[in-house]
Order: sequence, then structure tokens, then C-alpha cells
Amino acid sequence: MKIVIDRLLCDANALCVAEAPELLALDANEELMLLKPDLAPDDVERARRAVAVCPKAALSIED
Amino acid sequence: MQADPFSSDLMVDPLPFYRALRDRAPVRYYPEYDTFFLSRFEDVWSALRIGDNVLLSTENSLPTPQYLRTHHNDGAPPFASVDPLAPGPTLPSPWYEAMRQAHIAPLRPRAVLALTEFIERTVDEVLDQVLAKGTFDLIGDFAATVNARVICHLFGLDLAHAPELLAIVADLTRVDPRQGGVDFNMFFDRLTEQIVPVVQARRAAGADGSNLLVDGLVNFRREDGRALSDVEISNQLTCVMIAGVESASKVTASGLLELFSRPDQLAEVRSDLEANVPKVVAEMVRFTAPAQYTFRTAHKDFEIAGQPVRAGQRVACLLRSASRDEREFDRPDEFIWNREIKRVISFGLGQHHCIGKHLALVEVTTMVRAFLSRVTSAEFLTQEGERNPSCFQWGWVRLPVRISV
Repeated sequence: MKIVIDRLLCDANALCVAEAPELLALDANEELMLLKPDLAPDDVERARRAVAVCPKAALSIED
Repeated sequence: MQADPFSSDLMVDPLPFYRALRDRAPVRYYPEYDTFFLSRFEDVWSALRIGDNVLLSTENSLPTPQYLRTHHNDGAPPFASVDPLAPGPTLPSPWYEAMRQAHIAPLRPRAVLALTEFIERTVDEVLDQVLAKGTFDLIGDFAATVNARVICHLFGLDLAHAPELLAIVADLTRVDPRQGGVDFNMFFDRLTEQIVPVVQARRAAGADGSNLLVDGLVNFRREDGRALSDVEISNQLTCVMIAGVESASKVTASGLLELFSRPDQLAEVRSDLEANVPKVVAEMVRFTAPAQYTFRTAHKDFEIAGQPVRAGQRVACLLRSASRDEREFDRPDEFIWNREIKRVISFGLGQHHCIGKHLALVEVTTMVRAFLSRVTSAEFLTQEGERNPSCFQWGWVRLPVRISV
């Protein structure tokens, strides 16, 4: 499983980063980046919370 | 429950009506407006997160009741024009997002932090002037003046333009109470007069990226290679100009009124301003954010909270009702400076989630902190104040205060 970022929608509000700092981060240009391209089973719950908190609904989880 | 949601009598205090809607008719359909009014937090949250061009502000997110009564859609209306390019908020994906990405850079969190020094200096300068007067309008003289100067700074306008921006926004929100809503078309000309010279100046200067708000739009090229016209660019920036002057100032003033009305809470906040002001600001936003609602038009059939909505019908998301929903917040009608706020709805959500949220929060936080650190006591002269009962921007528009430093 992996987190998918809709680049057009993402505003880099970074609420997801606060929710899952080990999975997501902002790069030097304030663009959101994935720290773990493939989620481990232990990451999935936290990834779902990061997806849910995005105010732009810019994130999703794909199998 | 038959009440007209736009009536000026009701808008004097719409909160009991919103509560009744939430309890008894959370997806209330008004045939005269062909609109479903959503009042519960969860439903507003869900509706605003729907993407894929299902719900758009094609008819403007703040249509007038008169427009809604006289225009009913037979199926999905046409998308807003992309050639020439319509005002940003009305655009469908992917144009909406492309325009937003072309001017969001200076409003991102770190870019806003870089503005902190300018904002702090501006707040101190304006506060120096108003505190010397003793009695002043907390909105127009203080908070909105700060907001207007910050917006001038972002646009690269001389600060001398700030009073004109204030005047435009004041006129815009002082809508005829019998009409309700906001007729934006009336104000586009005045805003365009302000913005087009900025665009022309950036174009002439080469738009090298030193003005992050404007240059990306100047350098944008359509697939056919055409650049955007001055007016097309201006139409993408009016929202930032209006909202940047409008909401943060009202949250600051109304929020301070709420806090000063509760001396115990005021004392707690004062005990550690650095740590506590960001928390009280979050509650000020929830409790006083002036925007009542945001409208969308359905472009496809869909369902919300079990209610089918047909293409062409509208959905009104009652943001202020959602922020007072007892299903989401414990004791929602109480102002509690350090309450836990898990989800924020006051900035809207989804595609149109407030582009200036981070700037607004830094501005309000800076103004509240400066006010609390320099003012020992304040008497709010609410009898001499002015409210805007029927406008979508509910609450105080003028709030005189007499202070002791």
C-alpha cells in the first residue's frame, strides 16, 4: 500500500506531516514528499489518519 | 422550520435556527432556492471534500437570494468559461487548481513565516497610532488596517492604497439587508482598478519571480501558448484581496471582545502569551469566524447524508452551524480558550479551502498578542458598534473600544 498525493490539490498545509512525520515531509520548496513509498503494515493506520486530516482532500491510499 | 435562511430577522441571531436545523432537518431542502442546506459538521465536512467536479462554485460560492430564486438549473449548468478565463473561484478542475498553484507560493506556511517581521512591525505601528487615540474602532482603525497593509505588501502596492482597499471591502460587506448575499460583480471593477496596474507593472518588469503572488500568473501559458490577459490575472487575485482584508480583522476584534468578556479566561491567557495566544486564536476562529456559508452547484447527481441531489441543484454548507455542532464540539456555544479542536471547518475545506489560512492565523495571533501585551484594560463600546445582520459575513463590522494602557 502507498499514499498517493494529488499534486494539483496539495497546498502543503502540512497537517498530514504533523499527523505522520515518519511518512510525510515538506521539501525545501515546501512541496509535500513521501518518506516511505511503500507502507509497512504498522504504518497503515497512521497513514489513514494523515489522509483523513488533509483539508484539501489531496491524499489517498492505494493498494 | 419554515424560516427563510436569508431573512434579516433570522440573521440577527441565526444560531437557534441552525441548531433546530441540525437536530430536525440536517439536510433541509428549500424549493424556492433549489438548495439543500447542510447544517451538521459531518455533512459539511463530507460535502466539501467531494472532488472530481461534482460540486463547484460555478454560480459563485455566495450567490444572492434573488439570483437563487430566479435561476433554477435544468441539469448541470455549463462550466465557467476557461477562454476567456472566468474568475478563479468559479473554475472547474483542473483550471481552478492550476490558477491556485500559480499564486499560492507566498501564502504557504514557511513563506508566511518569512512575513512575520513585516506583520509584527505593521501591528506595532498601527497599534501606536490607535492607542494614542484612546478610543478607536478595533476593526477599521486597527485590525483591518493591519490586514490591508499586509495585502498591499503582498501585491507590491504602495501602503497608501490600504484605505481604498478598506473602503472597497467595507462597501462589499455592507450589503442591503433586504437583499442579503453578496453581489460580487458590483465590486470587481473597483478591485480590477487596483490589481491591473500591479499586473502591468510586473509584466513590464519582466515578472522574474520576485513578486510570488503575481509573477506566476503573468508567466502562465495556456496549452495554445497564450498568456493570460491583465484582467484574467486580476480575476484570479480578487479573492485574495477581499478575503485578506475581511475575515482576519473580524475574528481579531470579535475574538478579543469574547475574551475580555470572560475575565477569568483573559487572566489565564495573559499568564503566558507566547504559549496561550495560538490556542485562544484557534477558539476565536471557531467561535467568531464571520462566514456563514458557502454554496456549491452540483454538476453530477450525487448523494449526501442519504439525500439524493440532482445535477443543477445547489448545496449550501452552513460553516457557522458546523462550527457549533454539538456532535463535534463539547458545549459548542461556550467560548473556551483552550478547548481541544480536532477538526477545523471555519476555513472551508477541499478544493476551496482558504488559500490564506496560514497568513490569517499569523496575523490574528500577532494582533491578539500585541493587543494583550500593550493594553491592560479595554471597554468595548458595543452600543456604538455596528453589526451586519443579514450579510453572509455575520457579526461586527465596527467595534469601538476604549482602552487603558
